[in-house]
Amino acid sequence: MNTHPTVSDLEALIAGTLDEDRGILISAHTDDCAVCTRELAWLRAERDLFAQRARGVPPSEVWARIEAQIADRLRHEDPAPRGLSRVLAGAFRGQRMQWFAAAGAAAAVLGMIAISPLSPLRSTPSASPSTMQPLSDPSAAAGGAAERGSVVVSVSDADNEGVVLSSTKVTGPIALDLSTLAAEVEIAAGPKDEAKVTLEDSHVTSVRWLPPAAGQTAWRLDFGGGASLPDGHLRLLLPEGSRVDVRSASGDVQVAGVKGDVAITSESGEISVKDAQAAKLTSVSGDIELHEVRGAIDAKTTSGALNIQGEIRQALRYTSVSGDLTLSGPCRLATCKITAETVSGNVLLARRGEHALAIRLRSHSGEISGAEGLPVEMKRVPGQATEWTTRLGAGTGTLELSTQSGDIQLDTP
Amino acid sequence: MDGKRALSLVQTAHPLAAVADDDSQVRSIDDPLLGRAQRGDSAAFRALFLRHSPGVRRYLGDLLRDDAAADDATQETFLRAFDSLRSLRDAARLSSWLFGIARNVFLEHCRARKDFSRRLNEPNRDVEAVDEAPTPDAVLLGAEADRVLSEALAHVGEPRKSALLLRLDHGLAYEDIAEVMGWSVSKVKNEIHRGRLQLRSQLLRYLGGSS
Repeated sequence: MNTHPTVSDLEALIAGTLDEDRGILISAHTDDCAVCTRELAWLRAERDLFAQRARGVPPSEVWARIEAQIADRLRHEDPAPRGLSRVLAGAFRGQRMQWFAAAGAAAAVLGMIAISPLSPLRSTPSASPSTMQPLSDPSAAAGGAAERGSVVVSVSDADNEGVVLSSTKVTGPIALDLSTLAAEVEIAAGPKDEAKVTLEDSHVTSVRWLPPAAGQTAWRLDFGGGASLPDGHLRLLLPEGSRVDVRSASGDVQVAGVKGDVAITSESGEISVKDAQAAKLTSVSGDIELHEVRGAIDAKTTSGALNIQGEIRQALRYTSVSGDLTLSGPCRLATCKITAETVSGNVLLARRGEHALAIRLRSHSGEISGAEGLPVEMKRVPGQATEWTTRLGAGTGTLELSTQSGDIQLDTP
Repeated sequence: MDGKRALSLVQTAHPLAAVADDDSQVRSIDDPLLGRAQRGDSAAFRALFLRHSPGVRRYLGDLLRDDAAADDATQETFLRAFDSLRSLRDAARLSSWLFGIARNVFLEHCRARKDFSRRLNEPNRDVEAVDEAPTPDAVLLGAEADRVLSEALAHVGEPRKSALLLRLDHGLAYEDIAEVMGWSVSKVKNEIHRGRLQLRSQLLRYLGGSS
């Protein structure tokens, strides 16, 4: 080769995408050519530098705004097209429903892109914004659901200094599905025969309880004709033992004292759960705080941390890219089985003397720290993750962390 | 779309997974996603957003040098993409198509804002040659690499920087860059060559120099 190869050839050489014959030819040239050797060194340096750049997804608000705008555009399309337009519009009805639902479902978190059943296209026609009408016979709509026989007895009031109130009579614990975009949500235990909602600081001027549809078991809320609450501060009182399922884009969600199962999905909002049975929680960047959750816990985050107060009595499964798991309450029962998978997230155990745990860490570069005085064993298999094991107290519970680079850090005894 | 399918799509789209993607894998993932997104599948469009928004956001951030403006421009880029998604026939062109929209959004932003308008034709101080090679053991990692690159790129003027980034940071082919920039391929190669020399002359101080 008498002439220098092109930059494209050299780039392909570095990328390993040249065919074999040409690769040999160019390599033979570059080995003896100072100019090309220098060019190759620069191309490698540039490639390595650019590969180091941060490659994160934009803030969750960006997607939330895109989703809301698309839903808004579809919503404002001609509602009653005629002729050919009507036929074509029918073809896109499914598309519209998906976008309304997706916007209402506050986007997908960690891939759980939910097609919400709460699409406004599915809900019953709403009353005018400030004069809510009680449902005539919600028990009929409830079908075989647990709330058969319950009756909506009160209406919302939009004129009470911007506060919207709505309540419904129920026969005991209920299941509630709730969807918000940026609204703050607080759910607490209330009277055993009533479910109440208070909404403040919102553009929505009416709220209505919707009993479970046929074949469904969960109550829903209608927000001025929409299935998802865009903004404001929502407070709910539910009978003790109720189950809640909340999907939020960026608002914080707090559930306290309800004592039932809890499922919360949030992109960037903080999640707080206190005094509940099982908890299923998903967050991208928002942190999760749990206090006295008695049942199984399943938590997934991208970068949000999971902090647990109170004793862990059942299985805890934690999956995260970079979020840390902090255990401030003890794990000492045989039923306490903690399984964590992270890329770089750590597991932090406070007050290690309170735990009774068999600990296993599988990691490529992580380790167990703070284990002074404990019997630590290390098993290294070439080409595989290193396995560390140790034990706290009787070792009745279990903690297993599989990670690329996360550590297990033990606090003082 | 069932939950499991949606989960697998977005997991593949995660930045950590994307590192391992080669071009053909990216295309094979984009292909069915594009078709479904064109039919109005919101989950598929969301998955495309997760796959491509990091690059688009980084590109706009480099051009605008303003995080809030870059977020807004990213939003506008994907809204316009949604509006004209049906016009895109080839999933292999999705990435360059999005960068083309992003560049238009950037140009409009600059024209609309007086304080940004000068960015459309920034002066370049051409470098004839860089006779030194980077020191082989000079390594910049993570945030440090980001900072050094940002500083060095600040010395490359628009629109040359745009072309340079599309090649070095986003791996577009010269032909695709020509389409995004509205230039001939030879002009793209010439501008990228000159941009590279400017960049290298700035990077020398961090990467050492050996003849």
